[in-house]
Amino acid sequence: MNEPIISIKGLKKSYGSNEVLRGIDLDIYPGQVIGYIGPNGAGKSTTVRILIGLDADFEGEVVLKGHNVKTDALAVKKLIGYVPEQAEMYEVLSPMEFLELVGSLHHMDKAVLEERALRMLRFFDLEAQKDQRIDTFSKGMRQKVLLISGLIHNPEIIFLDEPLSGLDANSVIMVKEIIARLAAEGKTIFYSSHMMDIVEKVSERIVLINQGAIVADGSFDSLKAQTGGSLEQIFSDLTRGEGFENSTGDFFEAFQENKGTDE
Amino acid sequence: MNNLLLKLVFLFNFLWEHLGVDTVQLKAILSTKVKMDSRRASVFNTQGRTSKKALKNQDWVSILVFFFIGLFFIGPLIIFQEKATGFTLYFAGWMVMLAMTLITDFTEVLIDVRDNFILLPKPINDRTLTISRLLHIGIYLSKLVLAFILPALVFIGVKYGLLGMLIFGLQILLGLVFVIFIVNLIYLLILQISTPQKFKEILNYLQIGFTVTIFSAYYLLPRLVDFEDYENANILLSPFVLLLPPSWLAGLWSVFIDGDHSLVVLTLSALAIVTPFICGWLILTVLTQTFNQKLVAITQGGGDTKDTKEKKAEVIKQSSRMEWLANWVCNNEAEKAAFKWSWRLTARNRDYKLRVYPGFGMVPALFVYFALNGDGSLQERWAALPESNSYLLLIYFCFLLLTTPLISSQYSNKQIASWIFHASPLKEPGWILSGTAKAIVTKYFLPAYAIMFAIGLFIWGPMVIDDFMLGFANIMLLETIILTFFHPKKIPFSDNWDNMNKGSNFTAGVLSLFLAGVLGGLHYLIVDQTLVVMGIALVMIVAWYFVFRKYQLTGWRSLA
Repeated sequence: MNEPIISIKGLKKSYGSNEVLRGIDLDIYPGQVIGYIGPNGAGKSTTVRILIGLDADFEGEVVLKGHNVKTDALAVKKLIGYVPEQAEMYEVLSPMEFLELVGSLHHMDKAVLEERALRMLRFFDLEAQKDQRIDTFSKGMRQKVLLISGLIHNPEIIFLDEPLSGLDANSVIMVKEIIARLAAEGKTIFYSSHMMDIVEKVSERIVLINQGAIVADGSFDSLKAQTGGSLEQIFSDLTRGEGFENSTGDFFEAFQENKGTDE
Repeated sequence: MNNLLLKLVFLFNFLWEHLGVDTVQLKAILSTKVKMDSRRASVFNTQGRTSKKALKNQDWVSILVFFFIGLFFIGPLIIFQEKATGFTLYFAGWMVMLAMTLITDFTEVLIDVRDNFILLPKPINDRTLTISRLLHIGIYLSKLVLAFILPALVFIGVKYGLLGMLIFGLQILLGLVFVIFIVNLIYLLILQISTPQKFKEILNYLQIGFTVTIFSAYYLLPRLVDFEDYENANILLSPFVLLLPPSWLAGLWSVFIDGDHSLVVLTLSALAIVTPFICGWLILTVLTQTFNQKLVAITQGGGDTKDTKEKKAEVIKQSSRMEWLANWVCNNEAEKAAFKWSWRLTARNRDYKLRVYPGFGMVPALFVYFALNGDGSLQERWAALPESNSYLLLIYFCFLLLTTPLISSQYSNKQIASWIFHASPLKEPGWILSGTAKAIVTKYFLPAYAIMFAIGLFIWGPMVIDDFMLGFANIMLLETIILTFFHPKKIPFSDNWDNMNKGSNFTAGVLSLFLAGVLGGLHYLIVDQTLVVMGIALVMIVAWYFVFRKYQLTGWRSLA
């Protein structure tokens, strides 16, 4: 295979005494769709933040297409598209105005920008709302605008952090198709999520992290061969280990003690 | 207006490029930010929040407010013979307005959390970000500054001609740089002494402090100063004149227009000219760098673990004391739960504190204003105080201390969370309402009333005891009557702040003010008869008990 487009070596990150990432090594190649999964607090979003050059305070080496994120964050940011998990937007703007801002920051030609924004909004059924303020939008509609804003400049590497939150079933199908098309065009996609069923379908390679370290890395089929069962099963096996049944038992045991006072 | 200012900024593109700015990005950021400002609700312009749907320019209200205040401030320029005195007052008013606007109104713009999510992941260099932030402040202020100085500019133009206007313009420009620097400095100082997590909390208190100071100064200063022969007052004779930045600016006028070349005036002018340059240099080199780094840290999350530990300890300590109070004043579990819930929410909700806390500073100020209102010197008025019945004012002003926190407790910016009460198998929501009322009385009213009582005892002696008792009974009864029969009842924290200030709340406010006046008046009639006062107090307390009982039994249907 050719040169990796994303190369992570010995990535460590801690907040005070709390070690969030404990040495991640990962090579990602052009055109790959990586499903980056892990339980809550495993370090998914932290990894993404470091990869896109938002946080230079870490140990190890992270290189995107030859650019070191520590020393050349600006070049990295030019390459990437990012859909953040926390849907922060300038809500008093309309989608068109917001996309215009994002496009201009990437030095896009104004005519191209407008044409593209319109088409993408139309694709997501938002054309009628293109001049309405975002603060009137539902969660799903906002997420669509956010998705467009991460893709509009046609980036080479795309980081999606829980991109489907709030979307209805039809929109989820549409996004899945978009991801497949983007991958076919040779884009690299880093898909961070804890929704297993979708990760299973869109990603050709799955990286599972737990407590800041990679615990599994491979295609869905190879992971399945290792442990058997669905991705959900693999996930819980690797991140909870033994005693999964018991822990749900604990939950229900909580009812037992004061059963008398319930009624 | 906005477009004109933006065009003006982009005229200097060669300069920005020279400083290492990406002008395409600068243009995109600035025009977006300016557009957002015009859609943002400000202190002077609260309707903006309710009419969210319309894309409309709303900054005209702020501009008008500034224009009229500017008109008002021409006063000192006309009254005082010594122009330096008039200008000192004028610039003092102007600078305070600017600084206050920057801190209260512009904080959310200066530290816009969303920037970290939207702008930082984009390929923008640091210089572009810094310059765009500074220019954004400049554009925002310049409109307000123009509105403010326009009346004075016309006045000066008519009276002193072109040279006067030029000097005035110079003074304004130098003052602007100075104010921006001061605000930056305040922010930096706060960031130095505290953690980024506490930053917004401290800013909140600063805003409260500002409101109280301005209000008190407005009410008290004219009372405390004897304004005899004020037309001839001369600030230049004061030993503190060198410490007053507005006087520095005023000094320029004395030098260039009045032809005064004394040492004091020359020193002032030198300070006026040199300081902004030093400030500008500091801002561009040292400060913005640290500033931006710190700002990023505010939203980076994580943070130091020590802080969360401290917070935890604080929470536990608060809890035990509050738990004890809740057990003591509440009748059942539902009321107790509501008591604790409201106690915690009022302590941690920034909007609530911003609405309620300034009131506590205003009441003593109001009291001093009314109590010392009268003839004679300050000493004479103070000496006459124990002879008067002014402590009734102390008592009934406390009424306002209770009304605002109670009414504000219906609002929140997380109003949807109140679903939890609608989903719970609660028979009467009245217990939730009464628990909240009890929490607010215990937490805000009782300590304040105790302090007032102490002041009363100190100035007037034990004769005030019976009156404070009757006052307490009256306030409790009246407030309960208003809550039970007149004010629309809502689950606490269940309505958005945007819906405040509409009809009913205003009515309740005016009604309570009016009733407080009536009650105070009636109280005044019997103030000398201790036994009567005690007897009525007892009756009122019994009545209060029964009305409060009714409030506790408020049913779902009586909720607004």
